[in-house]
Amino acid sequence: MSRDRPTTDPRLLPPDWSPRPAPPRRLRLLVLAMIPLSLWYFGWLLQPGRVGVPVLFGILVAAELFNFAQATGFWWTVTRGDRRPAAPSAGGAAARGAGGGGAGVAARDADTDAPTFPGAPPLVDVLIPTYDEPLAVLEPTVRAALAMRGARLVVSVLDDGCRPEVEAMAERLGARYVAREESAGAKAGNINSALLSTGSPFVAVLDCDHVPRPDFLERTLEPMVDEGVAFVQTPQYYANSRRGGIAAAAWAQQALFFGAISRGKDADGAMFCCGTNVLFRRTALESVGGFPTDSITEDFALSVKMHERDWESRYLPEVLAVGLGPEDMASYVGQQRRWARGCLGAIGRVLRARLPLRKRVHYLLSSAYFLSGWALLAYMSFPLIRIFTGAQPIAAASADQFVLHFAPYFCTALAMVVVAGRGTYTFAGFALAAATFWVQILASLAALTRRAGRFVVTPKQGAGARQPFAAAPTLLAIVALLVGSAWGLIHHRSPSTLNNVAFALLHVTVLASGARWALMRDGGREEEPEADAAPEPHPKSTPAPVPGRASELWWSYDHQSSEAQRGQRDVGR
Amino acid sequence: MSACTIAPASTLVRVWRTSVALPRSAGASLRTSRAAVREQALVAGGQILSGVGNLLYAAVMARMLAPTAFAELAAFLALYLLIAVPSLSLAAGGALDPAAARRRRGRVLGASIPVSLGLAVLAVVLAPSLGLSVPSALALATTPTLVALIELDRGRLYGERAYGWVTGSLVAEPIVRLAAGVTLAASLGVAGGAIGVVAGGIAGLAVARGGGGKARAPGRPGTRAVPFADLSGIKNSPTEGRGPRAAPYGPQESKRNGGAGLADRGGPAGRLAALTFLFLAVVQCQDIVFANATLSGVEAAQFAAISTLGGAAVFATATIPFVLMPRAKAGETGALGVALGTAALLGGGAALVTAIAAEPILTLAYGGGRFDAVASFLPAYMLAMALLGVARVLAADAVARGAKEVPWVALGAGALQLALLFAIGDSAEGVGLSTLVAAAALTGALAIDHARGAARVPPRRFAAIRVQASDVGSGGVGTLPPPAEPLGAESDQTPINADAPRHDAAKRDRDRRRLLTALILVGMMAVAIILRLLASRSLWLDEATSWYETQLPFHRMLEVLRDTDVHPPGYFAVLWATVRGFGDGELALRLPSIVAATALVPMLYVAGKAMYDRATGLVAASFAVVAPIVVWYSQEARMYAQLMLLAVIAVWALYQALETGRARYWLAYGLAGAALAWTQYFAFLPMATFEAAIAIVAWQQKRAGRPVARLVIGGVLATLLIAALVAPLVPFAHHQFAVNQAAGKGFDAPSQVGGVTENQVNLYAALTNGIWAVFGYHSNATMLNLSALWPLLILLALMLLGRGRSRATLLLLAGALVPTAMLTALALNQPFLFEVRYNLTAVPFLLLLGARAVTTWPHTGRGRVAVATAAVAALGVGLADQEWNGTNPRSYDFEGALREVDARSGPKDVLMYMPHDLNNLVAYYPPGLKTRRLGPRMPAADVPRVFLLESFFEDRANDAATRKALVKLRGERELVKRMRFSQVEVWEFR
Repeated sequence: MSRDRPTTDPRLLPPDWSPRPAPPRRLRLLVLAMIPLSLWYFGWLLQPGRVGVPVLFGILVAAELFNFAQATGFWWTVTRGDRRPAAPSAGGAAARGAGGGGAGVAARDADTDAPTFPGAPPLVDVLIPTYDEPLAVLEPTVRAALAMRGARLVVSVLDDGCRPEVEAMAERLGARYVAREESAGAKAGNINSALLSTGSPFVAVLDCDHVPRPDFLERTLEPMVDEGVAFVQTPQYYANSRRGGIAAAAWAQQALFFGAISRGKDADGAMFCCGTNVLFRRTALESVGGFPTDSITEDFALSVKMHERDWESRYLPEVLAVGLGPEDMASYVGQQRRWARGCLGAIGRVLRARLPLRKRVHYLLSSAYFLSGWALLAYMSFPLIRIFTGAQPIAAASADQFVLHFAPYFCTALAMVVVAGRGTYTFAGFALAAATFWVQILASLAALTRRAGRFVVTPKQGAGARQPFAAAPTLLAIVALLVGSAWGLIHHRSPSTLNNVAFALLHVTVLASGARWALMRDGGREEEPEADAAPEPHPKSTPAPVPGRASELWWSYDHQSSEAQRGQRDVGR
Repeated sequence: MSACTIAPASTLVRVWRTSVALPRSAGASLRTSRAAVREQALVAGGQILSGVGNLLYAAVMARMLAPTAFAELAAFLALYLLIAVPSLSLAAGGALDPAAARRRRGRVLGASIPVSLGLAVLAVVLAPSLGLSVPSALALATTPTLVALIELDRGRLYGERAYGWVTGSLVAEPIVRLAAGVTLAASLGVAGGAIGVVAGGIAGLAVARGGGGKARAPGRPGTRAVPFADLSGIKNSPTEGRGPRAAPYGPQESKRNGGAGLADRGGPAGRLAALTFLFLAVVQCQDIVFANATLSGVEAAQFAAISTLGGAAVFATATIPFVLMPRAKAGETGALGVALGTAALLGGGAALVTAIAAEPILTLAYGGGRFDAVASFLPAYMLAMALLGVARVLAADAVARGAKEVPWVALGAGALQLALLFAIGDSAEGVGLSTLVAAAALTGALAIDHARGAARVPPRRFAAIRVQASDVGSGGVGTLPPPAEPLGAESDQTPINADAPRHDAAKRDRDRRRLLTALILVGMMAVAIILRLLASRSLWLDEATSWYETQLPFHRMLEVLRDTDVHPPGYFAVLWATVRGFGDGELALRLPSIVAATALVPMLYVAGKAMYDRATGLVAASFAVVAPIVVWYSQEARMYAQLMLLAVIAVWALYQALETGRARYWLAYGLAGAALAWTQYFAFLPMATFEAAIAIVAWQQKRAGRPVARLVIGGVLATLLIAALVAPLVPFAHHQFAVNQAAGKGFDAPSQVGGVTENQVNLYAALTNGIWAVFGYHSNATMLNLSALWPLLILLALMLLGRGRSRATLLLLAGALVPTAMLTALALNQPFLFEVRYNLTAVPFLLLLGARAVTTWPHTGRGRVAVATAAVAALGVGLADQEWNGTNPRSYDFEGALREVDARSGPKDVLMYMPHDLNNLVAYYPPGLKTRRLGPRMPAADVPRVFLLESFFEDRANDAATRKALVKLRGERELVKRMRFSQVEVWEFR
């Protein structure tokens, strides 16, 4: 690659998001408002006189209470985000498991006052598992990993695809190439296998599309001074979200999670590992027998195990690695299916785990989120049932009564999402989540019947084709809602029918907004941004400077010259 | 010579050249235009003659046949047109590729004859559903073959520029139609008329078939396929400079189509043209089919009458696109202007003539009085047809240049029209309105598409095009070649400087944009004025009060206002002066409102452009054109239209002041704010919001460490200016309030409720107010239905997720919502204040916010155009229902009632009315008899007739008093007639 040639890889551009904390006072005020508003709504809804058709009413109440529980969990989580101390206490935690991972007693950096490891920089194994991703995706990650500062590195490319070109690339760049004869256990098995052949006290795991920042290890090693910390998780930022389309919608969901939610979980020590952009303490990994290979969300299951053994986790709210989100509907659906299946399958494990209540609640909230599809299915069904049969869940209530009680609750809940997510959660993200309701339903059925899930690598590049089958159930739901609406309009043009048609059209719009990318050849992506042009600052999207790092350029090192730096990589800077 | 030095000599030519990016001399352009004018004039003349002949034919038939039979013939004609007009796509294809037109005759015959045979077989089955008799249906069956052949040959003639033969063919058709039709109809009735139509077509075909003919089909001995460029005359007259132009769909599109433009590729062009003209034909014709199928016999005949006249108007412009196409294909620019001008002249002229003399024209065409009921609507329908004519020209130009989206734009218009037909097409007016809205949307979309195409021209293309022009000038081909060496070449006519500064091209681009924007705004204002004049209604109570007050001397008017009214005197001062200048007719009384509501259109553009961008401004302006509530209050002799205009000026000036800190904006804000206060007291609510906004912005700036002194000084001075200007109003307002409260008047006057809410403060009433503010006033049943759509507000809330916020948005939101909240809080104590017209300042803010949503939420340009068109169409539907449905509870037909009483009464008769506040109305529309308020005493027995008029039925006291009087009158007299008008009832006793 020529040094002067501009790149179009969005991962090499600075991120346009920073997980800044939401204003805590505003959040608390909203939560305070939510208490009476929730009572106002549910007090009205749960009156005996409201029962229309009992079964439907029961389903409605169940769906509403599920959503309320999720919402309450969200409010509780996001208002805890400011409770985590700014810096970890050096050596404050007692050693868990097999010891401190080789690090000695912490010292403090003279310039930044951050805790550091005394003596030589620590040894870190950087593991980059890969299977079939193209070199164009993998190579920048390996180059950037080799250029990381603050530790003595051994970068290993764990190629389950056994591809000679990957081996050649690793050799050319100066990374270790590791290939297994059998690819048992998928990603978890791949990492476990690599753990056997490495020995550094710290292990960083990077998905092959996640390009780390040069200071990734400097920043993530800081919390590791506390010997009780098992892993330090950082956000997964989707660089391709700036191209719009499905990646942007998926990122909107991620941004909420890696913003307010992760901060809140971290405040209760309940942040779980997300599989990439994470630094582990080897002793912690070994204490739980490595990554569990019996789960398709191995990171989630691993976290439960570690927390059971009193290891601590940390969340570092800084974008230290930049990756790629799903670029087509099939990729997104595959990813969601894996997450849903894994997390729902872990509910039983979480319930049985020996965890403090708060951590257990955090895990349950995250797992149970994937039941939301059932609630949406119920909401979608009500207007159709009303149109076709006349049956409805609520009785003896006029529309304005319902709106009077529901609207303040609903609007304030939305405002909570807006404030907590600092405006990053978009309608597109919501619509995409809604359009995959059926994935959650299928996943929960699979979890209920204990059907084994299969680990599927999320493709890092779009398929470049229309994928209607990836959204077929959503499209069917849209057709059903439209047919129901048309039938209703033809047969009863009364206000009540119109009201239900409006509800149906609401769902149609949301579902269609989420499923439209399946019908687009390029997943709704816009043209590649020019990497050579200086990104124009956008008043709304320019990330606020992270304290102490404002003047640091994202690309402060020359990623093209890592060859020259290879000889220095063990020294650190 | 550099590109800069070839700048046109005159400003006019400069504007023209920059607007179309012409790389040639003004003289050449004018010569091209003159040639295009001659061609258009010749063919349009023939077409007009043809149209006159057809009109004559229809008129004769309307007189000869019974209404239902004429309706059948009109349906036949519509179906004939429905088949004929899509066949114009063949003409379009021929105009683009005459050689192909010759080649395809066999294929066309092969395709159309089976269709004709199939239609003939199905005639028995289809006839009843089409509203035809079997013989007529059989005659119709010949049409596909006939018109296909006619248009194929005419298309060839257009392409070969054999305009004399085209004209001959056009004229021959109606002559034979009239002669044969009249003769046959006399003996065979409708079927004879239909056969006459077919016979005319055969005559037209015969002439067209014999025309041209220098070129023959390829492959035959001694013949050659004549390329367009040879026939266009371009090669023979290089000095005319018929070089390629900076076409809106320029080199990029040509390159996409194979690098040589559509000229060499008849196939895609033909398909595009076929689809486009097919969908345009649907827009043109489906209304008459719909009307014939769904309306009653009389209504269908009424619509057939205006449709025939409208069809004649659009018929007059039918050939214009085809005369344009050859030149458009060659990239000539002047031709489009000529074609647009001709279409606008013919269509607009027809609309204007019918606007001036609708009834005489209908009488002339169909006999006296038969179709007078739709006379008032005829101009609107003619306007629709004029717009369709313009749209066809724009579509033809776009198709000739390879724009692929045009058929779908036309299809969208057809779908919109169909939806409207189902929604409001329950009367002749409703059907016509559907077409008007669809035609306006279609024309607007095509114009925007054209503008977008023009805007896509990259700056460097200007130089590139000059090279091509020079090639042509030195004997090159006339078609648009690919820009092989775009830059740096020298030319004998228009030398190129490769280093021509980019800012020159950018400036031209800006100039062109400005010109386009100005044209669009002027067009919008023209439509706005037409709509505001079209949608007229009787004065209502408050307007009559305005009239009464402005009849007084100025000082006396102020006294009356101070002692009896509840509004500040600003608006009344303007109205007083207007009445002095223009009299006190309805139009004069409403003139200030019409002017203000029309000025709102460009003002919203200015505000939208300043606060967001040009697109937002244009969309906001288009919303203002059709926004029902804006149109409604533009027709009311009250202060609300001015209120909206001043509110936009105030928010725009404030925003500019906050952004730039310039004194002139602070001054404008101060003046607009004071004017608002002098116009309506409730304007204090948005003004208080704006003042709070200034304070908040200053506080934020201070907190952010930015300099704040200039902002504070500007804000304080503007506030002081407002205070100083409003100070004289304070004692006036205080006196008004005290007097009215003491007298129990003013606030207790009948409220224009007109809805289902009855001014109660509840959610449903809030929802209703919101619907009124956006979609206008409708019947209670419609309001119930619209209110039932409230779940869509959930969608709106969800769609707001992730939207950015800007100072402009926050300012507009605050300006709309804070006064609403404050007014609602006031209304908890005084429910009558819960009324949308007291909060009308929010309406333009909502329009601006809506425009912003439309221009930012869709991710593609096409999406934006589609959503904007849909939004305008939705507002248009609301407007149509509000103005013409007849069930609007806010529409009071006092004029109709009083004129009826006037017609039925004698000099000794008495009119009693209830409520008493109608005194000014009764005085304004003098019934020519004694009037008096309804009281306990009934007229004496010697009064021959007593009329009792009641309105504001929702007022129970009024209603009770009226019922009581009716009982009394029934005891004493005989009820002759009970007359119902919109929101008014009259009983006649003798």
